[in-house]
Amino acid sequence: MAPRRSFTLAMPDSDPRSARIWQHLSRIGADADASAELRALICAALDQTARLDRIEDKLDQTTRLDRIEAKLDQTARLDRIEDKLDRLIDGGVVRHDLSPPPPPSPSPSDSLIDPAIIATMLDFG
Amino acid sequence: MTVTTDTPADGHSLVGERGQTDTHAISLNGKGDWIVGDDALIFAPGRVVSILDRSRYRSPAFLALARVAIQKVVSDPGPLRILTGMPSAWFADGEARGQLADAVRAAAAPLGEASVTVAPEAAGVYYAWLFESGRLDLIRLAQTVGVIDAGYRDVNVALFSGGRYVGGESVPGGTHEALKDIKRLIATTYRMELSLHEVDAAQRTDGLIVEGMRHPMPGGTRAALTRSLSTVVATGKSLWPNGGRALHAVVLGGGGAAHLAEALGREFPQLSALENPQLAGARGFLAMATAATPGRP
Repeated sequence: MAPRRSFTLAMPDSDPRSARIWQHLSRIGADADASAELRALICAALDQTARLDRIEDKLDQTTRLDRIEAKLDQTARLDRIEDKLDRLIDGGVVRHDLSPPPPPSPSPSDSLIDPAIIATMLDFG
Repeated sequence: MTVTTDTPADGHSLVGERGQTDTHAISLNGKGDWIVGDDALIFAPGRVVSILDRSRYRSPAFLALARVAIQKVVSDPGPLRILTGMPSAWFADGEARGQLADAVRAAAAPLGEASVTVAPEAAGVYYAWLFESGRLDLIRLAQTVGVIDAGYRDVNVALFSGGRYVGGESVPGGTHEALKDIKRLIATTYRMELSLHEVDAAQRTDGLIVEGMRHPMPGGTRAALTRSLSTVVATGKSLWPNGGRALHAVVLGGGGAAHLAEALGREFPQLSALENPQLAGARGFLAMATAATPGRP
């Protein structure tokens, strides 16, 4: 009997590259040598991961946010990368380092905070 | 300029008396020269001061630590608005509150005159949650929430309602206690005596080097990190209305949050674990100090 090799590739079903891999696997016969094409498909998927790695590295260098753990869960990963980009672009109040904060920027909603609310929040009895 | 101070829970709240080194030191008139943080660990490991009781506020070591912290975040001299926290258990001690405010004012003096507000430590985590989106969330502000701030010295459990601090408790079991337990486990398992900051570094990387080889953390490490759980849960259920079931949210922050989050989530399904919890208190105080500064744009 020919030696068998098993592998695990974690990607969401909704990922189009998953669909291509499943389609390929369902098409081939049990004894067919599918390794070359399969390898190409998997490499295509992993190339995306490598690209996301590079994007995230650049974001991390700028924002110093935590690294993402689910390397192959592309949807969740893209969501979090987008979140990091949003924070970077928005310059929100959430900061993750102790470098000098920028001067408070004008914000229409900040000016709506009632001084009485601030007084309540800082009243510790 | 607004400033926030919070004690990091990573063991870097360390101050060492200066030896014969060229490293940057904080000179306090008549109270010695001090080096802080990583410099203290490198250049004065045998003379590190880490005071965990409220007498710290009268110590020049605390003054030096606070001055370095303020220098890190203040870029230009001028009037300062400083918001800082102290453990809930000490908060009723008006004398200690005054000493903390005095120490922070003295620490900031070279940079400018400071208006200092002392809050219960858990308030920083609460504010971080209120300002999580970058703006004050008025829906969250109206809610009644529990707050757990898992800090280095202890764990603060507090109740806030409508933006107002209702009450709080500090319970033993901060990261400092866990590190002491893990230090003993390492000594028993690997016959190595590590300092607490070395233990902290080991548990963060989930392993340590013994005779050139990487080894796993000793058995019992996980239990040590979550040992305070039952006390924290019991304190919350005692302090919060209906044992916490009536709360809109239970907000979790602090350096020890990562270890407690999963188990606390089972006890309190409405748990909201803040991202980057170690600096959550500092982020919250910064947001609040910014909002409370008169004349801001």
